Amino acid sequence: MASLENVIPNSSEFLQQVQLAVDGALRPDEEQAFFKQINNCPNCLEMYYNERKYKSFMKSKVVKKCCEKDALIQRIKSHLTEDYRTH
Amino acid sequence: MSTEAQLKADKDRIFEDEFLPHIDSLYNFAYHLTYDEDDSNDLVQETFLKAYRFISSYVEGTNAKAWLFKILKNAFINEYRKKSKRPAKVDFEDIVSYHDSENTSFVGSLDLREEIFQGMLGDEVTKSLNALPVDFKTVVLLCDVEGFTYEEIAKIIDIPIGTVRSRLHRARNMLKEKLKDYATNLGYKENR
Repeated sequence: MASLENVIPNSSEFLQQVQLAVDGALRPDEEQAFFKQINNCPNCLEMYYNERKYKSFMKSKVVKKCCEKDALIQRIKSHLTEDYRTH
Repeated sequence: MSTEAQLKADKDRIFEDEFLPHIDSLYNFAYHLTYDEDDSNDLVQETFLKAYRFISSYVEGTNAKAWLFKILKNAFINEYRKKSKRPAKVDFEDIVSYHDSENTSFVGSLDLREEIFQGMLGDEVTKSLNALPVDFKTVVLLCDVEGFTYEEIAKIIDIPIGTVRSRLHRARNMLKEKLKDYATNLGYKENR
C-alpha cells in the first residue's frame, strides 16, 4: 500500500485504501496508519462508514437464489453411483 | 472393509461433510453467472462431480468452499461459455485489461442512507450487478456477497492479488454508477 501521507482524501486512490480497510485487507501497520489518519478527518471517516454501508447493503440486497436442493443432491449422487459402477 | 471400500467411504464422508454444505452458495454464484436455473443446476452438478473425481487433490479440513468455487468458475469458463448457444459476447478480457488500467474516473461514495437506496428492492440491485461485465460481477459476488478474502479470490479466479484489488475497486465504481443512475431515475438527487 502507498503511504497515506501523500494520498488526497476524496480521491480515487484514497477510496481504494478505504475499501481495503473495510475488506480487512490492510496489514496491521497499514491499518493502524489508516485509522490514525481518518480519525482526524471527518470526510475520510464519512467515506469509511459509507463503504462499510455499501458492503452490508450489497450483502443484504443481492437476491440469493436457492436451488431445489434435495432434488439436485439426489441427481448428483445418482451420477456418482453410476460413475462408480462403470469405473 | 477392503482398502478400496475404505477409500470410497472416506471420499463419501468428505463429500457429505465438507462439500455438500456449500451447495446453496455455489448455486447462487452459478445463477448470477448464467442467469438460468437449468444451466445453474448443470454447472453445480458438474462442479460436484469434478470435485468428487479429483478429491485426492483436496486436503481434508482445508478451504473446501474456495476450492469448489474455483472448480465452478473453471467449469463456467471452459465449458459453459463454449456450449452456450447465446449470442457471442464481448471479449471480456479486452474489457478487463481496459478497466484494470490505472486510469479511471472517480465515482466516490453514494449516500446509501438515502431513503431511495434503502427502499431499493433486491431485484433492482441484482439487476445493476448483473449488468456488469462477468469478470467484474465475479469479484463483487465473491467479495461482497460471499465474503471471500482477496487472497482466496486471487486463487479462485487465478489473478494476482493486486489485480483483485484494482478490479474490485473498478467493479464497485461501475456498480455505484449503475445504482446512482437507477436511483436518479427514481428521483434521487446527488448531494455533492
